[in-house]
Amino acid sequence: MISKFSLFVEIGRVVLINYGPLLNKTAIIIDVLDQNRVLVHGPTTGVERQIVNIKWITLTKLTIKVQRGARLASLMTAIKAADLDNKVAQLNLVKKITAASDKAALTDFARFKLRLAKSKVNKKVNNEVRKLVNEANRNSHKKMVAQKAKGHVKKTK
Amino acid sequence: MPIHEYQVVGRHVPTEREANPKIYRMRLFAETSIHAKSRFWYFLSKIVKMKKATGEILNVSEIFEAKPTKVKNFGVFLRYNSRSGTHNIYKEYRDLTRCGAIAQMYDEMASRHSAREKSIHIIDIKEIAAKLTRRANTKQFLDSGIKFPLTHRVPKTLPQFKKTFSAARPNTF
Repeated sequence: MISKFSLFVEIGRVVLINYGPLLNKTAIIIDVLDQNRVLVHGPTTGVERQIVNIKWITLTKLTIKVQRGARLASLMTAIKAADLDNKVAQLNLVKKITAASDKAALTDFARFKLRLAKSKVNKKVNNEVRKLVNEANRNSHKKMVAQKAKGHVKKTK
Repeated sequence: MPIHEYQVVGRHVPTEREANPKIYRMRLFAETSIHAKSRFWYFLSKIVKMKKATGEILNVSEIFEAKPTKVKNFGVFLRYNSRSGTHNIYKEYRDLTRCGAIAQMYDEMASRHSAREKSIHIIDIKEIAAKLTRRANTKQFLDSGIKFPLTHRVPKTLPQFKKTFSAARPNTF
């Protein structure tokens, strides 16, 4: 049977922790305890080797080649060999999180600058949109007038 | 409260008749050392004629897991009182620590057998090799090439973002 699932709980799967004190940190599945719990470790992301409930993780599309219960040294070589930290940073899931945390860390002045920059962009976009809308309105008006002149448009009471 | 493993050592108070009483040692799972001492006297009074009033505790120390980051298979032998009688059973758990396995056992005994902690006696707990495991539920997780999808994933929302009504239907796969 062909599975419609593409992400699996397996040894070496990179996961994002989405709840609890390790929120938004990535780690690697090192062992599977049972259907609810896995042993994860993220030596480069500050996740100590520990049990995490599967409900607390999001599977990512990344996997690395590690053995079950791999020790720190072999895990580190596997991470380096796969260039994992860069790959993780490229994940859309992680990009969103870093963007959100960057935004949350802004100072008052930076927020002010952001507001000005945003309004500048929005003004430009709205200008262009307005131009297009006006153009479309003008064209449709012209069409109506032309059709009226031909007597194609029924009069409504 | 998490469960800890304690070693309790005790004996009868030395008397004129018996100046060097036999020393007993017990490994116990308990929430605190106070609980452990209490359980020590409970179990010891079942085995030998001795009680707290005539005995003394020589030492209570906590036993820590030697390798708390390695997944192990634990076999637990226990005895419990159900509503209709006493049963001896064997259960298997996969966990990092003996205490973790015991915590799982108490949870499972409460849920499956309505057995509370006070009606459970742990006879033995031992780490067992993969090939000696007996339960199908343990065996299926021994495979190092284990691979399974997560079906019907309900997105976990943080408490502050929880809402009763949603405009969009959640994506559950």
